[in-house]
Amino acid sequence: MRNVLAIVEKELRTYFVSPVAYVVMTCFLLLAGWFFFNLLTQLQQYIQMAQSFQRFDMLEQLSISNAVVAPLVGNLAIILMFIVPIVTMRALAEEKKLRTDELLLTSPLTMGEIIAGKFLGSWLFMVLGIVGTLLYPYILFHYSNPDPGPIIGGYLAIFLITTTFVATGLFASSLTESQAVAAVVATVINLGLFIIGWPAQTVSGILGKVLENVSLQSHFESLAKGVIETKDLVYFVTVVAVFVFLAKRSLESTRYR
Amino acid sequence: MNPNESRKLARVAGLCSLVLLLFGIVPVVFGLPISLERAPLLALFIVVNLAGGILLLGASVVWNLEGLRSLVTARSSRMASNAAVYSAAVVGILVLVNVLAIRHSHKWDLTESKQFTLAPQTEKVLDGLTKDVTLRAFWRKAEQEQVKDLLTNYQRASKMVKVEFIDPVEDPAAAKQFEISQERTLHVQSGNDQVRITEPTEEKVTNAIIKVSGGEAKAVYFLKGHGEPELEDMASPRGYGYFKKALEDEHYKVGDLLLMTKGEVPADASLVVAAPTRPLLDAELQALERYLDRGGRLLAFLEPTWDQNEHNLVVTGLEELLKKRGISVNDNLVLDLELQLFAGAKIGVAPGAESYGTHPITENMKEVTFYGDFVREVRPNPDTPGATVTTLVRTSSNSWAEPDVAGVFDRHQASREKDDLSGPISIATAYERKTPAEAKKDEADAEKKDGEAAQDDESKSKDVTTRIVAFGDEDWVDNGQITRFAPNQDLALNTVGWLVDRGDLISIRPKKSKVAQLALTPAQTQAIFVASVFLIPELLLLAGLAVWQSRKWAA
Repeated sequence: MRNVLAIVEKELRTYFVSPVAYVVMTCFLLLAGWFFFNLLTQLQQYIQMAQSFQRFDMLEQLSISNAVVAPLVGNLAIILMFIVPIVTMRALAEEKKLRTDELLLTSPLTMGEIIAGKFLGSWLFMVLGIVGTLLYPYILFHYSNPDPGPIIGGYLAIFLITTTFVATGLFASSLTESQAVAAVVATVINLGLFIIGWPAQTVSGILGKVLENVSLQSHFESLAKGVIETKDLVYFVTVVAVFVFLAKRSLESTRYR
Repeated sequence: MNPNESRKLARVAGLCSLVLLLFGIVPVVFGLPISLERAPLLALFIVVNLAGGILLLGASVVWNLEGLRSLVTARSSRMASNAAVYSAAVVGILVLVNVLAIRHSHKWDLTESKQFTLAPQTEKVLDGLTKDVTLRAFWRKAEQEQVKDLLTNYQRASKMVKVEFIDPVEDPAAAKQFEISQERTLHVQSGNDQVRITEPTEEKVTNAIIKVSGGEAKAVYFLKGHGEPELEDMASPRGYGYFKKALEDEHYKVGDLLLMTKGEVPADASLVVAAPTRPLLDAELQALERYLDRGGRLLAFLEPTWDQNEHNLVVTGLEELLKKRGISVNDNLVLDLELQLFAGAKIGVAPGAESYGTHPITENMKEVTFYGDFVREVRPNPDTPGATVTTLVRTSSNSWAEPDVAGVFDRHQASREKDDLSGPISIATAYERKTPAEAKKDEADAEKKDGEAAQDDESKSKDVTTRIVAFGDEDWVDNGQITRFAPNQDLALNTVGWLVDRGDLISIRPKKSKVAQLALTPAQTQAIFVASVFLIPELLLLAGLAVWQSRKWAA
């Protein structure tokens, strides 16, 4: 355990002195804030319009949960899809490039500890960035009357999505010594997970069902609405497990080369 | 060819074959149609890829037999294949875990209004099901999302509920089989009982399930023989065919009643509907009185019909029957002042009504219903002893009750006089009378003494409730109007529902997410903008600069 924490500490320190990390996190928070602000003011406009036209049926449909939380989670998922790979790209690729991977692999640390440490390091860094968005629910509760359920579900969704992308990023990073390639591969995997469900609408039968249950989007959408289902939680845990496992295998295979 | 060359060729061929096989298999996996007639190019593409892939694979094997043999037997290959099998096993287990999780998923609905879970009333109904219920949703593929959540909730809550999604455009045979006339219809069936509903809400779906699993359909009899609109007529605008269909979709049994030959209202009648334009026989009126006294339900449409010979409105006899019970059917016509776009003000004989009385039938009615041609006033006498008589529908304040009926029908003229009753005018009234059990028992005993058949056991111990609803128009539910004005259909079905008194139907308040209260002043908007968009990123960058700088100083 202590070994893992040592790696985590080293990873975090690397992140906090790296300009890339700051730039990336700043971009993320800028975009997130921009989306949040726009969704909020757009909702305000819709409410005013519905009130002035006395469209009570429309007013009933406008809630913070529908109009702000759910779309924001969707937008953040897409931003994270591109941002997390940039954060994780150096996790294992850098070691290979600097040839410090030999040092690492021959050290008393087990493979599992290395992977766990790298994973937690990147994960904690992303979580700290997401903590920066806690300002938004504060604003929501201060100025309006949001339903806390979807907000809790939404944050759970964001954390799970981030964890998933950290896992894919780690795996991609383990495949190559080029950080750029790692970032691209991770992004492609993330995109793949996201869009694999799109044909589910038109494809019928068992394949349609399979696609839908493999797709990332269908699993976080209900979370963002405030409904927590064990099947969604299991999905995320499974995907993370698969990619972490693959990252470990990939790292181990370098031992045999 | 020397071994080196053939090995290189083998490698190239092998890789190419993989690409070809991949592009040959993927379309098949995705279920694309590979029929020669419909998509010959696609079929050709797949066949060429598969065939070519296999050929190249074969060629690469042949060209590199030696290399392959050593590859297969090498230790590193065995280790690699072990590792691959191990990885596949792990992934396989995780996939299985997921499949299990999907089947036995548990749900926590964190929303305040619990809008994604079924109401406890629904759960109770589903628990009590003894027969399978099938919900068939006829929605286009792209729109199935709209109802998927709601219907899957039902499927998950009970093993006896099965849900099918059918695209009526893709499968018109199924739509025809289940008599679906418009898309976005939900067909609910249990055994032979069926109900069709549109715009499904949890309340409607659960009520539909109650109806189909509640066994026998309630019988609604339409009086016949006095110029009533035809039940089987779905073609002309004046027919009642669509009204009948709407009732059957709600799981009612609809039939004609020739009271003059039958003599008595059938024992299984849950409701009698009367829309006469000619007088009823005395025997018929007496039969109806008897029916009402034993807890019968009557829906009466008193169309103001002009009798050319008598030079006044036809007297059907129902007017007297209703008057005795506190419902006054008056000899007037409710006219409305309409403003037509180019013709200016015009007197209309087909008023709309947007004001409803306080009554279970109309408590959720918000939209305008339309009546005519020719409507008469039907108003309650509130001081009727022993009964509750209430107005259901009122016309607008622009209307008035024209007493000079002859003027309208003969001379096609009308004018609003100072003394004429001014709108809103009541054009529909509901009546309810509960006879307590003791009184009924005494009556039953008295009848027994006369040698008549005693009432059945149930009515001896139960309260007998008589309900009547009278409308001053019969056209508002005819084919032309009931199909054009959805609120007319809603009101008609609500009325029948109340008259038939399905005590087992439930009412579920629709669950909505909280309506947002958001009223930001411009100052607040600016503050939020600065805080959410700029503040945190700026702080982050400053922190980063601080760290960067401190490292420089440390060095």
